[in-house]
Amino acid sequence: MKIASACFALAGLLPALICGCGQPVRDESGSVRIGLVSSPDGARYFEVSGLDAGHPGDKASWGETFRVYTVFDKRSAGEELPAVAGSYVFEDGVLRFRPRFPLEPGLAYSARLYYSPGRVKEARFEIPREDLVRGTSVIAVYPSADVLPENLLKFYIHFSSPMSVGRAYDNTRLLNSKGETVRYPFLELDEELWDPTGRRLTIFIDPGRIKQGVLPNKVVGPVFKVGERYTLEISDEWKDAAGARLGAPFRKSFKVSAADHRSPDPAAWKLAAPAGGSREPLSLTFEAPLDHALLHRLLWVENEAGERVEGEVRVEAGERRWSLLPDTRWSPGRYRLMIRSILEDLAGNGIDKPFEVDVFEQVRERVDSKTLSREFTVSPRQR
Amino acid sequence: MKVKLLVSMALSAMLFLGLNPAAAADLTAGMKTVKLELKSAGPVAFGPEGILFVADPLAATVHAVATGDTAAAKKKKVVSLEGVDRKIAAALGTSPDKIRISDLAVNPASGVAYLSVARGSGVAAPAVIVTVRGDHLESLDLSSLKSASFALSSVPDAKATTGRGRRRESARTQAITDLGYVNGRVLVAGMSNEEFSSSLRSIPFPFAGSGKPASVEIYHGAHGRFETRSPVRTFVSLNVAGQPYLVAAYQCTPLVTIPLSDIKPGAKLKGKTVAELGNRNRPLDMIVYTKDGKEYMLIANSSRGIMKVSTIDLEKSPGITERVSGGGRKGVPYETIEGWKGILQLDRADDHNALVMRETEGGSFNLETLPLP
Repeated sequence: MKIASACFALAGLLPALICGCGQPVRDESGSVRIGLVSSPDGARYFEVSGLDAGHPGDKASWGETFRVYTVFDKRSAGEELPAVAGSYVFEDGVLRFRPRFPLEPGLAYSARLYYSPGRVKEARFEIPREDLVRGTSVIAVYPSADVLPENLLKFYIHFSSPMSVGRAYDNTRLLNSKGETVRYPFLELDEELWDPTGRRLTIFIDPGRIKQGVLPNKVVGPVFKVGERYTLEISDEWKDAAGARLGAPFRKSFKVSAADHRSPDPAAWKLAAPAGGSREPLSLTFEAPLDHALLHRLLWVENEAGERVEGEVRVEAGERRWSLLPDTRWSPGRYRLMIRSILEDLAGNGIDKPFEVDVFEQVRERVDSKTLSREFTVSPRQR
Repeated sequence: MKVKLLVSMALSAMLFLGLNPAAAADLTAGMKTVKLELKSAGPVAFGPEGILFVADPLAATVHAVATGDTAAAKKKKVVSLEGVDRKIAAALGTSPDKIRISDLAVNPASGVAYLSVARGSGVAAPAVIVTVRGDHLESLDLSSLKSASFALSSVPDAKATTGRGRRRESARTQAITDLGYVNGRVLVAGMSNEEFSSSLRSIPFPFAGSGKPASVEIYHGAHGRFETRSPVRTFVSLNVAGQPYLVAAYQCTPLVTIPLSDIKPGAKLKGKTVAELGNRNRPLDMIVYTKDGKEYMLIANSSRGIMKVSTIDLEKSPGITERVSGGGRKGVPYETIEGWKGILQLDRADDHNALVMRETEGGSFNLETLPLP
């Protein structure tokens, strides 16, 4: 099926002989044609038809005879840039070139058949632009609370669809209460910290402006001031992975409270055990908000046999509450809440150690990431 | 376009750790042709025998690829390519804004540059290795080359993501900020997109089938008082007072030295801070070289240009133990190399030259071979 053959151009008179690395291919009919076709699997390839089936030339010569170029500028020949990478097949007088990657909507390609030196037959194909729908949006930012500690370590930005990579810091700003942009608040990593789906971005506040005694903090000071209001602003110029801008800008406003240098204490968490035979949630309430992503990964429940209780985890109330809705009813018995010690709060204080350790007070020689546990009992339901 | 700016350091490893060429034989013997497909391509570095190490952060894997590019060229072609981003985009059939160049490494045997490139906008964009020989650009066909891969397992969420029964896919990824081949081991520095961690893995090469990598955490001791975990941005290896060391730049700018012999599984390492590279600055890339019998280190930075440091000064440095005040930098002295502006990527091209990727005023990228300062 021919899907595009715009701007067909004959750049030279078609001679009777088309040279291919010293092995001439006779154009018997004089009707060599260059086309762009789709295979049943949807892939597109360029083909030269009408060649003499008996004279395929040698494989090494196909790339010399027929090349495809990406055209950025419609006035240029495209030839000054490298040819498009791909593979060739010659069959029944048809030479096919399949690009290694799908053709790009909105770009043009110049397919060029070279015969004797200086003679070329060219066909240009414009791939129609796709209509981009601005449907992607920011669906959440964590921490979700509207009061955050001065030594806040990171934000998680959740999007409804996969985003483009490489523009995160151009499209994310922190504004103070006067609406002024806070300069250099983030750790601008070249490898942006996306989840595997491209829907969640982690942005760290520059740790050099949190850590005590390091240069950036000494010279410029911390990013946040206690008592001030700030807004994290996400621009609608940011494009999703398909190339469409976000549907709307996003703003999260919050107030800054005093720095938090204490490790979370699992013994202080309020645990509400469900009743046996029910599918009530097991719920935990923390004394201060914990890290949204880590709460999904580093807390779980096991039964006495050490089997994990499967279910849906919910993190709510400004990351102060964690609950597990089991897939099946709770059997009465003893359970253990399992906690990885690297679970952090909003300032990066882990259960195993605070974000910063004052080595005058505490020195550890080894790093042991532990799993802690807290026992609880699911009692039979009272009748 | 943001680009990832990482270093490769294989050559310095061979030069400064006195790698025995006889012991390096047959490193590709256990490799297989497996039609390798990259899920992503981050930092790249060369080892001996034309082996290219490619970090694949999305797959949490390091690949070793036998490029076969081993013959020492009699006359190496000087790599020079204007508008490399535009040319790579054209070869991959797309526009320059839809490619991302992550890193580059020069094969010391042939002088050919290898670039890791993502073709597309999203996280799942296909990854490609592009070679540049002189001014000729080609995409490397990984499917026909022998390779070996090593999964970076034992991430600190093993229980949560690999247990029994139904699991939702973990959202945790480990960004790989640098990798390098040092004295028979592949060192991989990384940081997580969730917990504030720092990890440095030391993987024996050829990859041991089930061997767990040595995983260490790097700490930053701020002037002897506070210590925190510190992700490594980029590193090189060199000999300090006759001992092999890693010189690492942290994300928050201190430059530290760590004895290689300390990198053992589960170890807690605290680097000796020998310099602070300055405020509002990110270290990008480092290389080590010798000129006129003296050894130097070049550090590419995001806002403070290229710094040249004598490694003798690193040896002599007592370490920073006091607060840095006023001027904003302290520790080993350095020289800023004028004229090397806009350098985003850096590797040694040969004994006398560096290959750099430079951003032009028009926002495109050039590959240039520059004499080592």
